Amino acid sequence: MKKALLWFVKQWSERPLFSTGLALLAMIIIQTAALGTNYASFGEWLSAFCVNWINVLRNNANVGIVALGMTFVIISGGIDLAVGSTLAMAGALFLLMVDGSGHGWMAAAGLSGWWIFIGAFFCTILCGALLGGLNGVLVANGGIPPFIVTLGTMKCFRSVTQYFMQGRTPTVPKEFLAFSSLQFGSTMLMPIIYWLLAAVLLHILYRKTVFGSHVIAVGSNEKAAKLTGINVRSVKRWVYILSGMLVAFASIIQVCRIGSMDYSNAGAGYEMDAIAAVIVGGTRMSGGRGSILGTVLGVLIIGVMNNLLNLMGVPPFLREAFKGVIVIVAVLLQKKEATS
Amino acid sequence: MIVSFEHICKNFGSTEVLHDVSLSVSGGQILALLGENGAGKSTLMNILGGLFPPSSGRILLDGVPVKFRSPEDSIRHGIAFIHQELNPVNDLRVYENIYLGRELRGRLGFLKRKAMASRAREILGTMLGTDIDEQAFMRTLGASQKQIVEIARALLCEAKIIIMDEPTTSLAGHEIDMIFNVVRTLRSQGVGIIFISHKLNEVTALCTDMVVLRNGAVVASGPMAGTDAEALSEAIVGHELSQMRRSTPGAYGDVVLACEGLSLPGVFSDVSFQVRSGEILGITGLLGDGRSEVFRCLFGDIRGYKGRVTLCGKPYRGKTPKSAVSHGMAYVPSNRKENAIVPDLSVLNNGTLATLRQYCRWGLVCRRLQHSAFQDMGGDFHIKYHREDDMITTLSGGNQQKVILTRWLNAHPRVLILDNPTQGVDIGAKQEIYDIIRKIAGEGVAVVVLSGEGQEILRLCERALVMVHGRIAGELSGDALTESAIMALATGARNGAIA
Repeated sequence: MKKALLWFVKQWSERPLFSTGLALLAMIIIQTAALGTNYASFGEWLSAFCVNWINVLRNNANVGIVALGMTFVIISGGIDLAVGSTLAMAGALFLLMVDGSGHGWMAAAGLSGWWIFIGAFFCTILCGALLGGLNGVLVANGGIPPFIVTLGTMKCFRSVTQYFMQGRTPTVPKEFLAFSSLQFGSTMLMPIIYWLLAAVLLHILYRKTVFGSHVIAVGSNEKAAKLTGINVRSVKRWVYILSGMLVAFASIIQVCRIGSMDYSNAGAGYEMDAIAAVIVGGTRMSGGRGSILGTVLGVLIIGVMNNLLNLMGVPPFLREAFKGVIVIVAVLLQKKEATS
Repeated sequence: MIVSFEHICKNFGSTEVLHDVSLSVSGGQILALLGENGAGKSTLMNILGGLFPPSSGRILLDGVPVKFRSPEDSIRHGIAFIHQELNPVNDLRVYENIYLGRELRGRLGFLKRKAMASRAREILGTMLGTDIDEQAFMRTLGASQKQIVEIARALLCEAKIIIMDEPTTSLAGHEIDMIFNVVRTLRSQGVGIIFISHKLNEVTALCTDMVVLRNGAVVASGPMAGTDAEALSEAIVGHELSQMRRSTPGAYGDVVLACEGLSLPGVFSDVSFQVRSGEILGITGLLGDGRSEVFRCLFGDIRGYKGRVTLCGKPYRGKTPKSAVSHGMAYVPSNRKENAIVPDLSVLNNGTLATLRQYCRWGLVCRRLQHSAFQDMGGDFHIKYHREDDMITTLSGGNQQKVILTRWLNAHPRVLILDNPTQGVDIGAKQEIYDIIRKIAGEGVAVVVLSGEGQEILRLCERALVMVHGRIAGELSGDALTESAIMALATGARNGAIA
């Protein structure tokens, strides 16, 4: 018994994933209980359970994808506050390119059918990479703290997008909506699939490639990384480019779900949600340590908690407070790791 | 006031750092405390400064035994310790720095700036005889003036004994004179000064008495009159040590690295040397001699140096560490924890970090290749670890250093630069690291060892350069390479002659 307790304390304090996983498990149990037992048959309960879960996953898929990129940025010792605005700008560009009213740039360029979508898709990802690259160049080559760089570009991207989109209301042609809204039976699974696919790819990138190790090295001890012959600036540029590309991908998914975009609010607050998920997932704010799996769990914890509060009928205005408490508790746990 | 140490011993664990040290300082004396790095000077002064108690023996103040429990305690007894590295608050004014932590406050809790400033002016002007403006910002002061402000801080607490730890290492000639004037003024006012320094000709000019420590024991003491720098340097090193010899000269290959007239304004100038394949070249000197900076330039870590470098017969210029690595340079920096270790990576990843790209298959790092490369190179270094996946921070200093050596040897360098290779390494591991370095040289790598420890240079190198203030003061080789010869060149007791 005592041995088991010691093992538990050791795991809890040494492995962020352990505590995050347990917290998630506890929350899922409460969530399941909150679904109630007022069903005619087990089959009916099961379908309610599944529908609820699919909703949770789908509603968090976009933030989940953004948080994956954020994980790399934070492990490298930086932060990216511009993700929400990048999402709006990339989404606006995508809409202008695929616009169904006949003025779409891709149609004007002579493309037709799904070629329009494919062209617009890659141009939008490229746009995300460029916007991220701008952050990266300012951070790595300009030597400006990432918080300040991305705070600045956050304001710029949003404002420029709103200015250019004045009086324009491009929409996504119906046939392209399937990218996000393809139905499997009566369920919409595409965003979830994209999220999990991205998570697997980024996990491999983090764990199995030279780039992943270099990101850890830069975040953990920049001086040592430089003196080992790692091109620190290039690593820093690439994490922001990666973040920008993932944000652009998330923006395409979002635009294709809704069909249009509200440029002043789209993606607003994503930066804080993503950072919160990354922290809850056990990634160290000062860099050098973290995991993709942790971030996925972090997104789920926040998502499941939102869902739980919803099921329990907590007023929406109060829900953000719970999110705040979760983040602070997560950092408290991390602090324990640092001192022990 | 007279401070006396009586039969002080100090043990850290099982190692004895100080053995039966007795000495005394009185007001109006300037005592030179001399010895090599690791001789026990700092330990002795830290006991006086209240950082830790002695294992046995006692300290007397004017004949009364005292015990210092903390640095504040020793300050209260009139003893001030001016450390080698100062930590002034650059954005505050001079008088605010003097009063930092002991500010004068009025009844409402507001600062009494006028009173503080006028007292500061009195100390700086009347007592120390300087013209430092007490209203100036600390940032605008030179290094020696900052030292003087620190002394003023000590006087504010009415210090009777002031310990100065290598105050002149980072100062230029006229600044040193300024410090010396202040020290002499203090002496005339009855303050006792313990002056720790490696610069023997300065010490002989300034101090009235001297004590030499070697291996934790007093080996010489007495008035300064009647002794000279040569005699002191022999006392510091000890005769028997200079007899110790190392490896026999081997057959060296072609010149691998040749530098001509390297200079970096304000740091080093006119540095020229050559290293041959298979040779271990030592570069030594005192703190602040610029040896590390020379090689950080060659490795591309510092930019903007001038001069010609030839690597394997071709012109070479280190632009970034990355390009230096691709040209076959490897650099094991000093301060392993800050400059070499990636604390969040495993032993295996730390040991292969410089060459990770070589172990890739389809863009993914192949663990099997990584593992075998690490084992091939580091396998016979006796690195003690539990599992390869353990974090590097779980290893001892010596084992960490071996992992860092493995990291570089995997890159098969042509030139290996080792800066303080056995810093923070215990004696057993030190020996093993020396063996590794000799073996690397034996395989035809040109090795450069930078070290402040004369012992280390003697045991590894056949030839060594001694640097003073960014210049090469002399070259020693063969039988002329002894510890006292190094010390004499480095302290300026003997002028540079190419031996």
